[in-house]
Amino acid sequence: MQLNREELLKAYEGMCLIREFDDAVHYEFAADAMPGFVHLYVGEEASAMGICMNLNEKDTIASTHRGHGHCIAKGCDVNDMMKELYGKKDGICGGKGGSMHIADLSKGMLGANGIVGGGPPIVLGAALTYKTKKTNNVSVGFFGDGASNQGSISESMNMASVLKLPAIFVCEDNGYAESTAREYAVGGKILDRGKAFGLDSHEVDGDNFFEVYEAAKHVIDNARNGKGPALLHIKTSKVYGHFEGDAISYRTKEENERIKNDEDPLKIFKKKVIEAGLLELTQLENIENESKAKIKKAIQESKEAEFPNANDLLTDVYIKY
Amino acid sequence: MPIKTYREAINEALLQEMKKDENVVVIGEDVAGGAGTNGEQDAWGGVLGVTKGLLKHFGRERIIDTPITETAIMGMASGAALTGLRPVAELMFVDFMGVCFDQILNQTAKFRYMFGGKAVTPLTIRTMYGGGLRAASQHSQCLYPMFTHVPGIKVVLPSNPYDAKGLLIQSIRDNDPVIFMEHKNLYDTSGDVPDESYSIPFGEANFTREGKDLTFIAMGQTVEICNNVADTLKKEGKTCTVLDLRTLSPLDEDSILEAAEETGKIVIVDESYPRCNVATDISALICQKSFDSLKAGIKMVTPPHTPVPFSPPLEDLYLPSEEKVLNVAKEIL
Amino acid sequence: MSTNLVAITMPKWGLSMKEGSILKWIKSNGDNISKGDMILEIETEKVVNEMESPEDGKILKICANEGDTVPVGSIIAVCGKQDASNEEIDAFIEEFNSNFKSEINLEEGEEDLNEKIKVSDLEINFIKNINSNNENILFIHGFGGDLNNWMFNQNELSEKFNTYAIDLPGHGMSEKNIHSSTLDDLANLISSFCIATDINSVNLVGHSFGAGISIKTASLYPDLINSLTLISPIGLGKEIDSAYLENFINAESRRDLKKEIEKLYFNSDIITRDMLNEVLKSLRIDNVQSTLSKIQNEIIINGEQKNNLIDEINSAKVPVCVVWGKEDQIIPSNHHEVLNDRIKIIIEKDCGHMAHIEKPSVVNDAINSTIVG
Ligand SMILES: Cc1ncc(C[n+]2csc(CCOP(=O)(O)OP(=O)(O)O)c2C)c(N)n1
Ligand SMILES: [Mg+2]
Repeated sequence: MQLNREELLKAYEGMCLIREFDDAVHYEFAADAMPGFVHLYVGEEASAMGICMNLNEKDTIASTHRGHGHCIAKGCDVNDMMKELYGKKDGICGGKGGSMHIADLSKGMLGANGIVGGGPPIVLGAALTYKTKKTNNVSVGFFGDGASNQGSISESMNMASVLKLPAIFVCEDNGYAESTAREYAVGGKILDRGKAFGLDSHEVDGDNFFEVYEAAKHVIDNARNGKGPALLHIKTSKVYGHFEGDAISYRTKEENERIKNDEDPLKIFKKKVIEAGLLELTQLENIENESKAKIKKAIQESKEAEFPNANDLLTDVYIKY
Repeated sequence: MPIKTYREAINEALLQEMKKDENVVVIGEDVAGGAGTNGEQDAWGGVLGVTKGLLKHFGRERIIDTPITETAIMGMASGAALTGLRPVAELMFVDFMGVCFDQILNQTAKFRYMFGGKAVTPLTIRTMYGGGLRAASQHSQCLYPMFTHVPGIKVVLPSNPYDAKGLLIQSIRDNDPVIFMEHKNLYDTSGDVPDESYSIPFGEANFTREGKDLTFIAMGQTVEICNNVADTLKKEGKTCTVLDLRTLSPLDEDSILEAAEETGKIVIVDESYPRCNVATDISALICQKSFDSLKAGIKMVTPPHTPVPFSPPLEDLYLPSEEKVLNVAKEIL
Repeated sequence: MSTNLVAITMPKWGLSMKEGSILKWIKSNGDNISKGDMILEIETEKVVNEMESPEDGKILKICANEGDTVPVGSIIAVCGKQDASNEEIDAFIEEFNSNFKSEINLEEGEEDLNEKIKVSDLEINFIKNINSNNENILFIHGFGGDLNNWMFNQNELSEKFNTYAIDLPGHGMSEKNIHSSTLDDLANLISSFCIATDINSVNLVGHSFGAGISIKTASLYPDLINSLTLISPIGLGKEIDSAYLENFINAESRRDLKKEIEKLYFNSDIITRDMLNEVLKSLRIDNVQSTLSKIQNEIIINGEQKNNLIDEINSAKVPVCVVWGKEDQIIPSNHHEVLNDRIKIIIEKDCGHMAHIEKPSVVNDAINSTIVG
């Protein structure tokens, strides 16, 4: 294993922060304290962290409607994110975007997305910039199993292949798109679609941080070195429903239990590093407690923060009428 | 008469037309839900439950869940309409038309004319629009002016449960492509809806209030706003006409002019972006055809020219409200 | 308190009316009025109509102004035989208001008075108002109408009589699919309706086609019928505006329909958009048009009336009264000339095919005296 202790701690910190963030949102939303609708990433944390730990600040990602994890993994500030979810003036987008539109260009986060399949074409553009300017950067586009059926995904993979762009396509396959199973909606194999366009394509166990990290390292390094685009098909699962308020009646109890107990990437990571003697239990527990405290503070500050007002309605536009 | 919600009225229209005509099929993402899962089959019935319950009557042969693939959905539905089915395709949020507009704009809308009148395309596209749910910039738009701009598509905006049922039945029976737009905020509103099937012809606007002092012209969700403002003004001794356009294509020009001439003072309330929207179009119409009847400049209440903001106070400031409409009305009363 | 003063109150037109708006006062403070004079215009959810003065006297004070919307039964003016002082009038109003309880506050929500009953396999909608009186009235509307046509009559007459108003098959909220609709069929239906609702004797009030059904019922079931009041009946001559029926059935829009409905009235100002909408709502229900076409075929053949009921009406053994608007454009009023002199005939001027709506007090008086004798 190539990761040192510091990197391992960082990985766990990131995953814990994502977990705490979205768990907290789950409860806040249920308590009717949050506006709009939110899609939670709980259960998929290893994917965001495993990928983003291979990226530097200048590399970019484009995310999905289920974007909190990607944002945190790419370094967005959780206080500012939480304020955004509450629609506050100091939110990461000034309260104008909300959960589905979190973006922080200074961190290389090109935006969550309300349009399924909307992100990967943007990634092509970022990759074209890096190729043209010869910066050795890469851009990563996340999308779901459901999104894999959009024409925009196929078009993007083909274009990346044709132009040999430093673009990585990451399909986070949690088995469902809303209430529809992947088995029903995906014809053939997602992996084969990447191969068909000539992409270096790999299937990855998304519950295992180390496997994601390794696979990502391989394809990202290649892309940096001009070897072109790749597809990672990450098999994962999410704990909560499609969005908050979804009764998840399309999944069985057993499946829900299995996801919670056997497919939890944090538990798996913890077990692995402790059994291998890489980290101490107390170190991990400290991280857990710190994450809890951070998120608690973020929620409290967000609730107390000010809403935008009439003057903010007509900012960020080129003409006011 | 039985009281039903807007959601129930739409569901009933689909149920009755599907029973009546076996060529009617419903196509869309999660219109039943649960496809390929081990859990409940009719798990969603659409994101907001509008098509829930149809699966048990018609099975997956006619309630067709699709992958997330709007271009293919719209294209498939258009092609099916062209060749003998009468599909009701769902575009979950109207904002997603960005993904599939070619199939609507360049394909289905053009068939009849471009093929020299040889084609009929009995396609209905059901879609949700409008703000108020804190759904932010990509899930809150109105966009009906964009469809209204395109010849060949009919654009329908029911404002209440009675109209929703009658206009949807008409949409399904109609031999041209229709985009049937449902405002998310209306689903839980209720009103009298007959149990029988009935259809309301397109191109007939509806007067929901009659008065002498001012005319409101409204569509979809803004009808309710104008009705309430008219009722408020009535208590203050001013009576207002409210005209519900019902369909934007075809547009009932006669009723618009009739309503305008009735009072000579006009406020048009439109939730869509303010440039090139329905309000601007109608005020142009009135100015061209009935300028002499005007006793004051035409007023419009619309959002500002920005995307829909997420933050609740911003969205409230953004949307037309009763308060705004009342204030604007008072300016010319 | 002076017995000189009387309250003029917001009338109740139709059983579901809760409030009305004052559109225009035709008379003013100080004007002398006599019973039957039009004194003001009132708008309800359903219609705009003129209200007739219920009293002789002088308007002493108008209490509800133009534009006001007030509950049914509330005071809108004070009228008196002689003048009265302001104090007297104010005291009278105060007294009235302290006793007045609006139905609006008493009732939660809208009460649906419609009832349905299965009669000869058809679901028939009706409204009844029963006060354990001796005499029953059954109102039968005409082609294309419904029980709401009696809004100025049923309520008024319910004080003295038990009243029933039905929706004919294919109309209003009754069954829309019918197989056959000859006058005989419908007379049978009326008889079955009476059996089903435990009516063993009844005074029929019918309009136009409904008047034809009434005549036929009286001839087939003489024991059931006590009297007939007929408004613009069919069956007494050949002429009829057959285009009206055709165009009515096929009216697609409010505008098309308005042109037709205008033919029904002497004064077409009475027609509101709401009234047209109510008719359109019914016409747009599946099968209504085809059902109406079937009924049309029972009324008209080759552009003329199909039924000849002259002998049946002239030989009726019960009191019969015929009310006809002089300016009726659908069925000419001179058809009354075939009636024998046992039958009371009222030809009302400034009135079209809908006397019960345009001249309600004339029709109500006629019904009353036909029944009471
Ligand atoms: C173009 C478009 N179509 C449909 C939707 C509605 N929608 C939002 S998320 C979603 C399911 C996405 O499934 P998947 O890509 O598997 O991502 P997951 O939610 O499982 O993370 C759908 C259909 C949308 N937002 N955009
Ligand atoms: Mg998925």
